[in-house]
Amino acid sequence: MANLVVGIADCQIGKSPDQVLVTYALGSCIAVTIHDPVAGVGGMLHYMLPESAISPAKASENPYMFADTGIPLLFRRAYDHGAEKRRLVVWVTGGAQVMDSEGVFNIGKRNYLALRKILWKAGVLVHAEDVGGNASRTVRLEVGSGRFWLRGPGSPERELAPARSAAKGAQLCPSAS
Amino acid sequence: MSFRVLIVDDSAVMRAFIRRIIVLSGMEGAEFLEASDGREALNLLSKQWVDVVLTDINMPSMDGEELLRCLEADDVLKSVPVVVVSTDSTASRIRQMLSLGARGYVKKPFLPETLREELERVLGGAYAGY
Amino acid sequence: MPDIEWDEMLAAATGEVLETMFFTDVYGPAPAGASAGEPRVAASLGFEGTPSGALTLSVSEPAVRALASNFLGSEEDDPLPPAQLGSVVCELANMICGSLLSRVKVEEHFRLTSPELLPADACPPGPPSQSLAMGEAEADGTIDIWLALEPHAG
Repeated sequence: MANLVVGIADCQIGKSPDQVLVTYALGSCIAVTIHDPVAGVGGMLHYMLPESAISPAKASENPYMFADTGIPLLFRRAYDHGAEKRRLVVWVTGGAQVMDSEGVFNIGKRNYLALRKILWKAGVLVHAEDVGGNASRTVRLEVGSGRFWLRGPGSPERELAPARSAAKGAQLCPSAS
Repeated sequence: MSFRVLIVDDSAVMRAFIRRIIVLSGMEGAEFLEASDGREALNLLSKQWVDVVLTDINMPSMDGEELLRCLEADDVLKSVPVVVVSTDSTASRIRQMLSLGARGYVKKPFLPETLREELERVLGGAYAGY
Repeated sequence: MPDIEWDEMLAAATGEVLETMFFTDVYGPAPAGASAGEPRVAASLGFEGTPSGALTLSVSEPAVRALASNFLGSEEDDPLPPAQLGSVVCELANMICGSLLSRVKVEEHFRLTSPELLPADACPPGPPSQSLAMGEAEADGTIDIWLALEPHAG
């Protein structure tokens, strides 16, 4: 398997079945991970802050630093590689309540709320999440299988699976009544 | 024939919120009926079949508890699955509504996927959830 | 249960509703006087149980527009009709009240009346039970909530 590392304020798209998108040490940051099982495309964004309005200069230099500039780009880049919105499986991880470099204790929650607002307005539902708490997280997505794994400090890796049928990606027909 | 959903809530914006979740869950082709209380719901149900009812509890004129009793008392309507969506999350109320025949219960406030997952659980393969 | 615990439960219920369905953070107590002199939207509903009472809330008008666009999933520069804004404030009051009562009394049903909009100057006299700052930046808006509990006989 070829690891494709997503750094802090970074976004990567994986298109090969042997690729694994991975990001490390999510504290108050959030990782948004998406996967289209039909197109075989995965994407992962690791962002730090909720709103780019606090620093438009930084946002134009690196839009992946902020939820409101990074999330739309993540989806657009996945669509450019053949992903379709209605097939996407979405995981949300991170947003721990840790003291960040600015001493702001609340940034994890604000990152999470920003993401929830952006996804809801974009018409995207979340399939699985693991957010909050105090510990940092490391997460990875296997582009080939669409399986998503999560690890915390000192704890074994576990799979974070969508609640029900999300992973298939093929629309079931409503039953004829 | 498309999948038909009846949403019963005295708040128009809550009905819109629920409708949006169901559409975003993959049910773009669903047909939606809306009622602002149990009496309006029964009136709609007397005229057309629905595949699922989502109902609040506290509503004027006829509340969700009375609506559920009326549905369960009807030989035909008792087979329509009912999911309660209510601010009332007391253990006693949940027990009561489930014992009256509700198949699912979602407490307000709720995340969109919570409603989607509950509908998938209640409706199984009849619901095109993602 | 002493009033102070009701007030704490009220803050917790308000935070839960605003975060879960309106994607809005509650920062804590609003600065004194933050609610004065600005246009606000208010709604009230009653509840029957043990005890019975009423909950009234008022929200600063710019915050109402933000809350409504968050709840409905619309863009903030899409103006929403006043009727929808009022409906959102009513549903906010409904959910905060219901969430509060479910925290306080796990084994009892309450009946809630349908929430109604109030003129903002018709809010109860006296200080609110909770006055909270909320939004995406410090003091983006405030929500004031009055909780009136009726003393019950016996």
